[in-house]
Amino acid sequence: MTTCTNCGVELEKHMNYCPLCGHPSPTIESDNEEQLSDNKPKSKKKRLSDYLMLSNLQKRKLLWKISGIILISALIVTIIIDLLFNSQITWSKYSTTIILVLFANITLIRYKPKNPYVLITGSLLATAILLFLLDYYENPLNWSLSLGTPLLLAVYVLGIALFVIIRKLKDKGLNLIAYILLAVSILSVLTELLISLNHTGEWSLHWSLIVLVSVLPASLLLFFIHYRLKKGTELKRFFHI
Amino acid sequence: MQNQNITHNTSDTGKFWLKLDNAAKIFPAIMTKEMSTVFRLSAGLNENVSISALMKAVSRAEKRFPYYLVRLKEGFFWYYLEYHPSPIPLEPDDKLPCRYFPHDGLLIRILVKNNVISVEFAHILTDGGGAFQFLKTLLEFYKEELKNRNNVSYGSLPDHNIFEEEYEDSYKRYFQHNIPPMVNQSTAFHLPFSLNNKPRFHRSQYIISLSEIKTAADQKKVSLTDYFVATYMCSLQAIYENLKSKGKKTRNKKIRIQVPVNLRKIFPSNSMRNFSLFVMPEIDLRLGHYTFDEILKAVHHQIRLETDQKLINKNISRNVGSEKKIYVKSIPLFLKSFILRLGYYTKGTNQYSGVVTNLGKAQLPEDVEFLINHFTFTPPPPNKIVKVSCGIIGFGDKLVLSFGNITKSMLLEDTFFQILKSNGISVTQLNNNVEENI
Repeated sequence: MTTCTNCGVELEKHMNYCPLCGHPSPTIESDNEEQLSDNKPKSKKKRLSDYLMLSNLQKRKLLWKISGIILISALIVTIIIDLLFNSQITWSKYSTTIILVLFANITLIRYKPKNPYVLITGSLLATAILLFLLDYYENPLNWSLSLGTPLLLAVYVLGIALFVIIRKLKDKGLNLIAYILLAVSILSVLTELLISLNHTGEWSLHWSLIVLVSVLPASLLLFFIHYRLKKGTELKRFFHI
Repeated sequence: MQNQNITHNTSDTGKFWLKLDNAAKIFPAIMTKEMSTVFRLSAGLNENVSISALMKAVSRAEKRFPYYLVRLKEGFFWYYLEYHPSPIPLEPDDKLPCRYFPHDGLLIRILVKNNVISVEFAHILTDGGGAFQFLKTLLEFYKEELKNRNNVSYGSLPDHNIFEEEYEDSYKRYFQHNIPPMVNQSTAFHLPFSLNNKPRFHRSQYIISLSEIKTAADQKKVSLTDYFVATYMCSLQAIYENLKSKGKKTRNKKIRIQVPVNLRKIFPSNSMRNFSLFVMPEIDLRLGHYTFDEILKAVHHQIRLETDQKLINKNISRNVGSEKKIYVKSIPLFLKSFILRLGYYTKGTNQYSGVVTNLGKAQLPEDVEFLINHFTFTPPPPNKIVKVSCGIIGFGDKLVLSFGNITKSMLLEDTFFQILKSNGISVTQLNNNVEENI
């Protein structure tokens, strides 16, 4: 019998570690102290590649640099090809705008990875600018302000709501699909509303209602399977008074 | 226990769920990280704990007490307990006592350090009586595993047969209709001390010779509970008078102590869930200064009167009756929890100045007794109004008092032991399981 030097319980002879606190038994401690201190970091080092040994900040910096090099190279190449073939900037303005917006999003992740408000607002702004510019290239301004930006806003708001709900879910399963389906059907309704308003000047719903009516029972069924049948919770138990 | 009551077999526990018993219904509504509603029972052994024997004993206890392998779930109208067959956590005792149980896990843990085995229970599961029965059985299993034999012949719970009655909410069995409900008491005097920073809870433990205190109580012809409650009241009176002399007045001039009563001793029950109630002896400071003997007399008679079966029935009737009302039943849980919490702080806890829980003298089979040096009972962290609570348990000649305190002051404890010392009772402090004279 030996005694754990950390929590003071008696250990059996065959125990190399205390099953209660995980501390090495005194015999192991004295016999293999050097071996333990030598082996542990080595085996750990072996497992880690150079990339895994980097801190999160270093990883983000590296990814930002690599994506920057790739995107700027692509930007230069597309402009040169456009100039060579057309002797002026024509289609490359589209690819340039998309590349710059993409790079702006990656830069946001590089500098503000833990601030969801800055990330979301920045990304929303960058994408809105992208839509505005794409519309602007086709003079005069036609759809970006009246349709593109409200739709974008709807996508973001629904996306954030979905993200918050999913994060708060204690048990993830079929309920996740049900929430996604619900979000998609709400987005369909909003899309049709905005399109109809933009085209005819009136609110009207047709196809999105069919989507909603089809998706709603499916979502409810998935919720039921998840919360009642799958988890085996009886209604009697849940609603007992 | 009677054999005809056997309904569960260890291999046949299956999946079950339980409604919260009447006393447990308040706890989910009021429990927080600070006020965990978790209490602890510890056994100080004569030798260091053998971890392999204890692991085997815990594994046997898991099979013997399936109704403690449950987790708290939210229903639409009430919380309930759902069977959760996961191993009881066995942890080194190196953190704060009576910690909050994480969501969705078991409501029991076992902690070990050197020669001390502790069990912590959420009050939702059981009271001191049920918890002590668990610890006692665990110690018996432990002793058997130490000896490497497996013949169970003790007077407490046998290894395999689980009785239906152990699952029971005994309040409901003894509830009687048409009994007038109890009347709520006025607000009592409360300690004026400022609270600790979080984590607030700390405890101090003291040992008294059981024979010495028994002699003192016998001389006054009162029980040990009467004696300790009176000493507690006397300490509170001293603090009140000290405040008054400094010109700090308090509106509430009644000292009232909540004293839990194990109902299993009054009504036959083998329930392993909560089955206790409170009596609340009081003194009215508007009537002037009380001597220790006067307090003792008041406490003794009030406790006798309030533990009368008819009055206890009235108390049960109040608690269970309100739970049975249809308009209470049909309130959704979130609203019910809010109302319960509000009621607890505005009516419930305001009524008493302190809590003194005496679990009495621990009785164990002879061949297990020789393993044990002492027991300690740490009451749940007190709330922000009551601030200090006291738990008592005796074994052999050692009676251990544990004070749970969430304030920066130890004045109550100091005054309490000054009074005991002035009555000729010697006290030693139990500090990290080492006894020190104070």
